[in-house]
Amino acid sequence: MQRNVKLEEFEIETKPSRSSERGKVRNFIYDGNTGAFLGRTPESWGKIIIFYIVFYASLVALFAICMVTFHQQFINPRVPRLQLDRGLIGTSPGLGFRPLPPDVRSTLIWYKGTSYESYKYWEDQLKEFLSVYKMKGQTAGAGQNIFNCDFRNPPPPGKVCDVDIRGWEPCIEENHFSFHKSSPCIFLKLNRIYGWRPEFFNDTQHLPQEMPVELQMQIKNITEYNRDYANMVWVSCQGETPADKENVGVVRYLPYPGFPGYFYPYQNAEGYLSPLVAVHLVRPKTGIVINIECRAWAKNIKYDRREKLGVVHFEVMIE
Amino acid sequence: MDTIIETTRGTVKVIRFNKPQKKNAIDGDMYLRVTKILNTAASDDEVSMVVLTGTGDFYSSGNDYSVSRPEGAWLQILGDFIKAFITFPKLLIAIVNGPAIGIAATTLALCDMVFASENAYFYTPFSKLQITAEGGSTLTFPRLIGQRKAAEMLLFNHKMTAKEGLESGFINRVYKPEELQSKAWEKIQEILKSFNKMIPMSTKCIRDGVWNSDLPVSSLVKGDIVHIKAGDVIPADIRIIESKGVVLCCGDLTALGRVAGLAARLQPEPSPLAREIRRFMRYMSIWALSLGVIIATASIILGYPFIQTTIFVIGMIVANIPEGLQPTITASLTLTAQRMVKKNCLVKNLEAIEALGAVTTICSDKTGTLTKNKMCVRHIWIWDRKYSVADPDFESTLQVNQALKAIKICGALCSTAVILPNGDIQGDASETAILNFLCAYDDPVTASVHLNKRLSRYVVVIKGAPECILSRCTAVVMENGNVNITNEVKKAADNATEDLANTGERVLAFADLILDPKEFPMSFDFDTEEINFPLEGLRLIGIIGLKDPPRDEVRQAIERVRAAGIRVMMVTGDHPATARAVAIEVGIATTAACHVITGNDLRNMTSDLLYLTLEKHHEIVFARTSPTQKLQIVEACQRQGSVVAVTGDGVNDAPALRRADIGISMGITGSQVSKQTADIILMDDNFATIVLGIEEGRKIFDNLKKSVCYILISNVPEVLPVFMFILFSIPLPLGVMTILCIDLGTDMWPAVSLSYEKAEADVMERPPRHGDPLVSARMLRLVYGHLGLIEFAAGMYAYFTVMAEHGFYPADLFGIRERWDNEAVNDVRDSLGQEWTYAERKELERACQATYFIAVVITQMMNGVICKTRFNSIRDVGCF
Repeated sequence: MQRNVKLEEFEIETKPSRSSERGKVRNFIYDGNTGAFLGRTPESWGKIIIFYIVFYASLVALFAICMVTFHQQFINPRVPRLQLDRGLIGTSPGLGFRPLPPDVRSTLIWYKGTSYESYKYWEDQLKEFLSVYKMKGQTAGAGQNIFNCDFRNPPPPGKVCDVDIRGWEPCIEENHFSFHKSSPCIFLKLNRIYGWRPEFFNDTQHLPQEMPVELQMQIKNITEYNRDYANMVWVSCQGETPADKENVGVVRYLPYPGFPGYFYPYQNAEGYLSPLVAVHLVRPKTGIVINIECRAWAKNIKYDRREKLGVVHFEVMIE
Repeated sequence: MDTIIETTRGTVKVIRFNKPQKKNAIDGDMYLRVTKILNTAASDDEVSMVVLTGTGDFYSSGNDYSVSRPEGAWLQILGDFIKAFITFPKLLIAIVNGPAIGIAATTLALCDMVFASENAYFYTPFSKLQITAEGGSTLTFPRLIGQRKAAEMLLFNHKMTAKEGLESGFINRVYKPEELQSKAWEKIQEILKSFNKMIPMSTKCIRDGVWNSDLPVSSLVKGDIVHIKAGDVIPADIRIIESKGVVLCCGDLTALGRVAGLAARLQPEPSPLAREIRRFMRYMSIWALSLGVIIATASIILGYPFIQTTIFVIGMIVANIPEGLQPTITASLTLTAQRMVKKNCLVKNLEAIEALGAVTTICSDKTGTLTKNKMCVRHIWIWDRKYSVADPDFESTLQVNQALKAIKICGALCSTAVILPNGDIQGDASETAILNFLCAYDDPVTASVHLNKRLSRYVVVIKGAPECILSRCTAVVMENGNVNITNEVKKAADNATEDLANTGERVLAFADLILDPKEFPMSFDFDTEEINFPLEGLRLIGIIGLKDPPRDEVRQAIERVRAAGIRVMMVTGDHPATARAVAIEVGIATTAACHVITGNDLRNMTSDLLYLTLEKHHEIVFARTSPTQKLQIVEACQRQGSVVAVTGDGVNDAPALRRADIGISMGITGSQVSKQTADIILMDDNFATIVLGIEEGRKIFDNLKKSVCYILISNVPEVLPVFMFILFSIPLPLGVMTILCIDLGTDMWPAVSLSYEKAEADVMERPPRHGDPLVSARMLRLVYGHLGLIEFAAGMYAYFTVMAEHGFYPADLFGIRERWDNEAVNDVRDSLGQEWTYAERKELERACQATYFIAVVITQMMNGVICKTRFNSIRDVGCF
């Protein structure tokens, strides 16, 4: 204890110390009198260790039992417990694009038009992405599930529709997905939502006002050939700003400007493949970043540009 | 007949309107008279207040113009009269014995206090008389009773009854007519008493050869010669020269002043609670900051942007700092302090209550705290028998005893104490006690009759220490006559004296001697300075044992305190035998062989020896100690590691009070300095109140432990999710917002409410907490090792469940973080092939955090129940 200088008139001595600090530490590590090691006797240590083993074992067991029970009783491994509006995934699927840039935070597809090294990454990305589409015959359980779908013949339950790779030509592997010609192909896919059925814009007379004129024309063309083709989730891609619109040039959608309706609903059938639309930028302006926004069109796909609902955004820059 | 009766009662001047035939209406002469009395009283130092009242059933019916005077003179008279009221500098009290009309009512508003009888009313019919309301009533009435009521009275002739006057604030009290005077005077006496305390002390002194009979103590200077007599407060440090004193030092320079100054300079140790909290907070901060640093590093390494990292770190620190602690402490201390005030214990320093719970040693004063501070006659020794006053048949046995009569006379005569008109006795403690005793067994009026009988001859009465008296005695009163004193009688007397002294009683012997009327005729001039009458050959009447009896509840209180493992030591300035006797009587000492240390012993002790003595003897009584030694004792105890409470009332106790962990002062007898220094003031000077304090203090600490335990538990489920997030790359199970919700929202209230918990029954049966910190390793194990983990498990279960319900099965969550938290990725695939956009994922994440939060809140509810009791089963305590 500190000597209080203010109290000198009262003759205060320091407390007689009983044991030295070092002795205390030594005693703590091993106390010869009680046989205590680190403050506990071996017996006490044994008891406390056993207690904790039992306690934690019970806690883990309880946790595990709860988890297992819940999973076995309430969760179907192939069907989500909460679907569509009942869950948080909702009824408005988002759009996705491929290939994805190496940096997960970026959405910029950037390469040098002539350099193989430069577009190899993107090509590899697409190859990998499309490999399941190519090798569907070899995927377990996928081959025999394939059903030859068309608009009049939706697949029976458990069967899946085939995605025709040939329909994307020239956006195919053998053609380097057209990257080498500075006219890259970007693949669009609609997010899968279990049990979601699109409500098509199939009345060609009453297409929404804000739908791009080119798309409206195309829809009219296609449906003229066959009315069934109206049952599609339409897709349109545009430059974001007027400048981008100019820079992006002609856009081709392969095989159709939309996802055929017979792929829906998604029911987690073995071998299901999402339909894809290859967006072929036929002659984009090089040396400049082009902001492209693609939108999916169905009556039950909500669109909000600020909230990024029903649209996907990416940039393309070709040098 | 006098229309104004002026009397003086002590320092109170009483003016009575005495014209009952005219309902005490005030005429010109009466105005002049009252004005004069008031103006004289204003400058008369002998007058402290003036009381106005009236004769008969009217206070006053107002103006009496029957005696005509010129118009201007009237205005002058009335003006002076009212001005005298307004400018009167002292207390002005009206006892309104009946209706007050006109100027009598308006001047009431100028009085400081008004006591009225029930049949009084107040009536100011100025508008009826078509005159302006006088006496400043247009100003004073609205102030007192409000604009509306005043208008009613002054403009519309409203007659206000006493009851209405009380309700509207026009008067202070209403009494029944028959008890008005007695009740009002009771109140006035009360006020006078409080005055006495405010009146500055004065002293008689000679300065520059000039006699000052009334010099305020504060203006004494060095070199003044002061006159003091028995019972005076010594005004300064003086050197006695021939029954006068020369002032050596005054104010802060006096010995007492230095002691008071020492108290101000002494730094009290921080209270045990403050120490605990500081320690706890330091550890908690270090722990929180180091966690924050770890998280920050990990987060930077994982590539989180700076803002996100900052949020994590803030969340982590907020999660770990027990925000609920401070409000809890404040709430419980304040609540307890309020409760304590109701039990006559004023808590000045909130933390002191808790410290009281941790007390291990109490150093108690004797006089006034353990005892009643009121001398009582306990035993009487007459001839060869000792009689105990407490004996039930004491009265009957002594009824016819000759000696008792003699003692009565002797006791009554040989005394400087006086019986005041109201029955109080003023004087030296022992003499007061004797007179009190005599009053209890005889009517004091009878005693005075005896006095009258003796007019024919003088009798010398003497009382004093038995050994002095006995040596002067040659005879002794017996049952039926006087007998010459023998050695046996002397021995018996000696034995009795010793006997009584051993029980701590103050012993006085009484003797008398009847003087020969021839030798000492009526005209004989006695001189007590140079004794010119015999003081030998006295007749011994008896011996009286006086004692300051212990307070009734103290013994039980000490028993409880001792049962609570607290050591009680008595530190007194009294004689060792007295101290020991009281110690045994109140239970501080259990055997007669208790260790008594006197101030002299203490002076010769080294502090090591004192330390060892304190260790060796449990029951110690310190007698004949000086105030500085009290401080020494306190410090010795503190060096032993005790938490010390000290009681004291004098200025000289202040250093010890300040130095002690808890200084306890006395509300009634305590000096200002001691009250200022103390942490707690016992308003009833009662030791038993301390026990209540200890109980409350222990309860507070118990409750604080509960609160802290409760608050700490939720730290675990708040911190671990972030680790899960970093280590296993799962989506964050608990966000910063939810952490704040738990800490500042759902955890705060139960934590505070735990401080309202009642004491667990056994709180006074435990030893004081010694080395039982606020947060022990044991509690940490319970909190972090058991309860916290259970909460965490519950939270994670809830989190995984919600994830699984939406399609993310637990196995697929691990490692998903990079894609999950990436705004650019719009299609994160779950276990069922569904693809989630960023917005949908974040929505899901928030839902999961919400369930985690709910899980924590629910488990915290359970923990609230767990924390509710520390020792007892919840089944015994009950949930509510």
